[in-house]
Amino acid sequence: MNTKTLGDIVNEFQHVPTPPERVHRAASVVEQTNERIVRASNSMLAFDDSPGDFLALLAEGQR
Amino acid sequence: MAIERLSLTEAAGAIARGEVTAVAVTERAVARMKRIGQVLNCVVDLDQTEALIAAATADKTRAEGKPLGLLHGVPLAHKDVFYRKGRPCASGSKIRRGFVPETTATVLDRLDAAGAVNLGTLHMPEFAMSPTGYNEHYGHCRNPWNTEYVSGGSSSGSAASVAARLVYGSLGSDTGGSIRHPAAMCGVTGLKPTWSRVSLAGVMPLSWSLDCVGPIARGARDCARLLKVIAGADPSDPTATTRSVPDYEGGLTGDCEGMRIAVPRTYYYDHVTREVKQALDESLATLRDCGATVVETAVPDMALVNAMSHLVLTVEAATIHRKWFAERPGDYADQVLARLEPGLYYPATRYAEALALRAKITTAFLKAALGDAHAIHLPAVSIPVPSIAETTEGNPASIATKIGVITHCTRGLNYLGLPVISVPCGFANGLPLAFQLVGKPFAETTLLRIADAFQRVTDFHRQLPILAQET
Repeated sequence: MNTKTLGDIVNEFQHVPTPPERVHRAASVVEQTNERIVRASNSMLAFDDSPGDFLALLAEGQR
Repeated sequence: MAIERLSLTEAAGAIARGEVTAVAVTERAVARMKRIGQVLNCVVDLDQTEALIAAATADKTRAEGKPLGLLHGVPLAHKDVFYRKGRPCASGSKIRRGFVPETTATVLDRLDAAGAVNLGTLHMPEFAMSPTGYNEHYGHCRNPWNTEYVSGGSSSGSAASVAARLVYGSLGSDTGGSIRHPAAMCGVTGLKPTWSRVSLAGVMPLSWSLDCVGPIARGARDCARLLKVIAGADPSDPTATTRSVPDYEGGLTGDCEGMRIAVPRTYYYDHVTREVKQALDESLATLRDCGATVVETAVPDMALVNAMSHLVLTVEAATIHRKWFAERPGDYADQVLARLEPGLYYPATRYAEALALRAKITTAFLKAALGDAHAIHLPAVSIPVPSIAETTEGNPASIATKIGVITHCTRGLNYLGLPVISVPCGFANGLPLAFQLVGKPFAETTLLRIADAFQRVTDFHRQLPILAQET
């Protein structure tokens, strides 16, 4: 994604005026992280997975 | 022995037995906070008058033969992230300078109810966003072992104050290592409990899904005492677990018999230096002598765990800060903006995916890294404590790399929600080193037992910085 598009997201969608140099700085981190999580989701996320699964895991405790 | 050299539990015992008064202990702590606290830049606000009144009341209560709490008359002070009604709470920021909460954090109410004497608030980086103790608005917190070196952060004032024997214990908060970094770097013990073990009501949020409140104190026994007091269900925080709170001190058997300790040799040793490796190896040998069996394990994709942790933290923090980003960007340090702003860009679906996959990824980590062991032994910080100059001067890329190395062994564990304790285990260049122990959800008793057994046969947590030896 180019930085202009990311700049539009932060300036227009998020309503946070952000100069291009700060958009550029964030972009390098965001693009890398986003891609890694997309790949993980594609391979790991099942239809019935939900955030509640983590609470259930904690509820199991030390078992 | 000088009273400041007592541990928290020793001080509580001495006060309860009438061997020393709460007023004497508090006066000593106040004097040290004024004198040494200034050198370390670790004190934000000292409530001297109220503390001495509370201490006098504690002595009167004892003299009347009334029941005493677990922390009766013990002076404590805490990271400036916990709200106390009517007292300013800036959380290390310019934005919240002058903010006066109308409620008190549940954890502070519980400490008060247990008889603790509140001395005031302690240094932290802006909105808890530095692992070193860096704060552009209020200056660096300094390491008591060498004031040219970082204290670690973000519970910087908590660890520095405990290490310098200003207070007997302190609460910190941990979203990516903020209890463990400073505890490790200052040579004290820090416990990040399981997510949900301790109420977050009245605590300045950084990331609701990752934030944990926990104790920093000299040893594991002191942490056990503090955790017992602060843990438990809270109507003001629906995310706090209703699970019963164990008798953590009762679980300190003094040995590691039957304990299996896992050591994953991949990822966590990527940046470990020779001095740190030697201290870690020696700590494992000591744990074997205490009765533990050490087994080697592996880890899953830790880059993914770190990416998830980063995404959840920055999205939740950006949600909290978005309005101020728009209205007052100049009131943030640039380092803080740089770390939080990425959260504005991620699609909502990525955030939901990170939360939906949390159980699967945590299960995979426990299976690979813990296996059938009771705890995972890891470095706390891969490198010796860096100097303030090393983490602030030079080009931004090299500073960012150094910061990344500091958080290498801590940051992913908050996404997994697991309990972790940081335990002092040596020195390099005159500054402390530490290991971490990670357990299954709610295995705090196990971690404290192992840490306490280690501390019964070592004295790293008892050693005093020269600056703290002043009378």
